[in-house]
Amino acid sequence: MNATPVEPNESAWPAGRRKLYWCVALMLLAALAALAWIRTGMLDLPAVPANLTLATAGLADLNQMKKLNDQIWSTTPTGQQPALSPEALLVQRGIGAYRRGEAKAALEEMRQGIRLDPNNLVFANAYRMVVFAARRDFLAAARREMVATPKFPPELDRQPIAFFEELDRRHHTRETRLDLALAWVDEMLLFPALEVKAPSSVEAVDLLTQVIDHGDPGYVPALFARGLNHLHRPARLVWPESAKTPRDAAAQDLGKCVAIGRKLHTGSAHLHAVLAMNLGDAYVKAGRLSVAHSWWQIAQNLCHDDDVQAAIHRRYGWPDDEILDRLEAELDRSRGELDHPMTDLALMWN
Amino acid sequence: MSRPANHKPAWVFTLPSIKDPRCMLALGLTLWTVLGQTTYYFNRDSFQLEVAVASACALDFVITAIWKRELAVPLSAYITALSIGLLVESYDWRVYVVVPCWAILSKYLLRDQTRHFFNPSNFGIVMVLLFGHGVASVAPGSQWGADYRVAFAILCLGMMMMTRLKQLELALAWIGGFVVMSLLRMALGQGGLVFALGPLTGAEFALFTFSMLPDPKTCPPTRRGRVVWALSIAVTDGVLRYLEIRYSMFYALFAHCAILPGVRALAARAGVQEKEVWRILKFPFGSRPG
Repeated sequence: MNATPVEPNESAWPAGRRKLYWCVALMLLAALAALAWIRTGMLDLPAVPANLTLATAGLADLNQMKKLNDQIWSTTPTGQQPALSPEALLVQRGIGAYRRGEAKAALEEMRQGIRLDPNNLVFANAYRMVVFAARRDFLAAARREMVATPKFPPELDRQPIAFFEELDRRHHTRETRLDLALAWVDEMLLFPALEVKAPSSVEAVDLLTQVIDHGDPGYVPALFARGLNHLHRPARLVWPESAKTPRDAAAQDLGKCVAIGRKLHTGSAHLHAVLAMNLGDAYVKAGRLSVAHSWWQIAQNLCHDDDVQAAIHRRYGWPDDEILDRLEAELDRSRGELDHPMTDLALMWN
Repeated sequence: MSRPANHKPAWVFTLPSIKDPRCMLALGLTLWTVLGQTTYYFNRDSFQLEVAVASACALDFVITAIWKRELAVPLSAYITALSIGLLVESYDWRVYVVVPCWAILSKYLLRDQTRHFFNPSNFGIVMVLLFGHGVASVAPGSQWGADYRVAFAILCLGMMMMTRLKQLELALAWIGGFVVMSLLRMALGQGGLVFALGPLTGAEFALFTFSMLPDPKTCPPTRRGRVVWALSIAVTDGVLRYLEIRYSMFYALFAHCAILPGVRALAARAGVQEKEVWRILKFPFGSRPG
C-alpha cells in the first residue's frame, strides 16, 4: 500500500488544441455569466422607476418626521420644548389628554390637528396608535369582566376607520388612503377571528392597490403595508383572494421596498434589516427557501440589534419540512404583539 | 533494553510528524477558531467547542488504544471536532458530544477493505441534519462579519494551504464548478448574483472547501480523479441548490463518499495504488508475547 500513485498521462491533448478548448470554455463561461446577469442581476429585485425621488417614494424628511414624532409624544412640559406648529400642538395636547384618561377630548383634539395637516403621516400614525391602545385596553378589560359582546364607547366605536374614511372623502391623497388602509389592518390585529381578519385584509389591500396602481407605484409605505398584508395571509387558506393573488405577491412588494431603499440610500440599518427579514419570510411563502435564507443572512449582517438577531436565529432553526408552519406561527405571534402593533409607522423614521 | 524475538511491543506511542499535512490543517483551523471567536462574528459558544473537541479526542484515543494498542495524539479527531464545533449550531450542548462521537465511530465502523470512506465531520453533520429532528442546523455562513475582504483573504490563505497539501486542483475544481453551477442557476432564474455566489464568502463554504473536501483519506488517489470528483460534487450541489435543498454541499459530499469504495476499486483495477499520506512517528515501548 505504500507505492506511489500511478498517474495516467495528463497531457494527452496537443498544446494547440488544449488552448482552443480553454478559449471555447472561457467564451462559454462569459456567455453564461452575461445571460445570468441579464436574467437576475445582483439581488433579483424588481425594477425601480428611474425618475423615483425620495418624495415620490414617501421617504423624504425621515429625520424631521422622527423629530416631530418625538416632540408630540414627549412628556416634557410644552414650555420647555421648541415651538410647535398649531396642528402639532393639537396632536400633542391630545396625546397628553389621553395619558390623563380623557379619551374623548383627546381623540377630538388629535382629529382637529390632523384635519389641519391631513397628509402628515406622523399625526395620523399617532392617532391610530392612541385609538389602538384605547380599544385594546377596553377589550382587555371586557375580557377580564367576562363580557361576552363588548360594545365600544361612542368615541371609540368604528374608530379610527370612520375618521380616516371621512378624511379621505374630504382630502383624497395617497397619505389618507394609506392611513385608512392601516386602520383596517389595526382592526385585523384587534379582532384576529377569520370573519373580521379576512374582510379587513381585503379592504386594506384594495385601498393600497388603488394607491400603488394609480399614480404611485414607488410609494414605499403602501408597498410595505401591502407586502405585509400578503405575507400575513394564511398560506394554506383557500378563499377567493388566494386564487387571484400570485404566490410571490408579498415578495414582489417587499422586494420593491428593498430595491427602492437601496437606490435612494435612505432609512436606518434597523429598517433595512427588518425589510430584508420580511422579504426572507415572503420568499418562504413563495417556496424559495434558499433565497429566503440568503435574505435572512443579509438582515443579520445589516443590523446587530438584539431583537433582529434573535428573530433571525429563530428562523435559522426552522427545519425545511416545518418552515411554513413555523413562519406562520411566528407571524401570528408578531400580530399578537398588541403593545407594539406592527402597523406603527414609527419603524420608518426611528 | 532489547525485546525477545518472539515478543511484540506492548504499546506504540504515535505522534504526527511536523511534515504531516494534518498539522497545517489543525494549525489553520485553530487560528481560524481563535480569530472567529475573538475578532469576527462567529458567535460560537466556547463551551460547545470544548465539549466537541474533548468528546472526539477522548473517543478516538480510547478506540485507537484498544483496537491498535497505540497511544496516538488524536490530531484527526481534533480537526473533525473543530469543524463540527464551528459548523453545527444547536442550543443543546449534548449535540456536541453525540455528533463528534458519530463522526469518530464512522471512521472505525464504516470501512471498505482498506480504510474508512466517509469524511468523519461530514458524516456527523449529515447524520444530525437527517436524524436530529431539527435539534441542530448548520451555522449560517454570515460569519467573518460579511466582510468580503476578510472572505477574500481567507480564500487566498486556504489556497496557499491547499498548495502545501497538494490538493490545489481539488479546491480549484470545486470552486470553479460551484461558480459555473451558480451562474447556470442564475440563468435559469434562481436568485441574484449575491445569492448565487454569496456562499463563497461564508465560513461554511471555506470550512467545507479547505477542511472537509481535501481530506486525502476520503477522496480519489489521482490528480485527474480528484478534479472529476470535485466537479461532480459541484454539479450535485448545484442541482440540490436548484431544488431548494439546504445544506446541499454536505449532502453532495456524503453521496460521493458513499460511492468511494467503488471508485477505489476501479482505481485499483486500473493499477493505481494509494500511499499513506499521514506522516507519523512511532515510538514502541514495553513488550508482550507475539
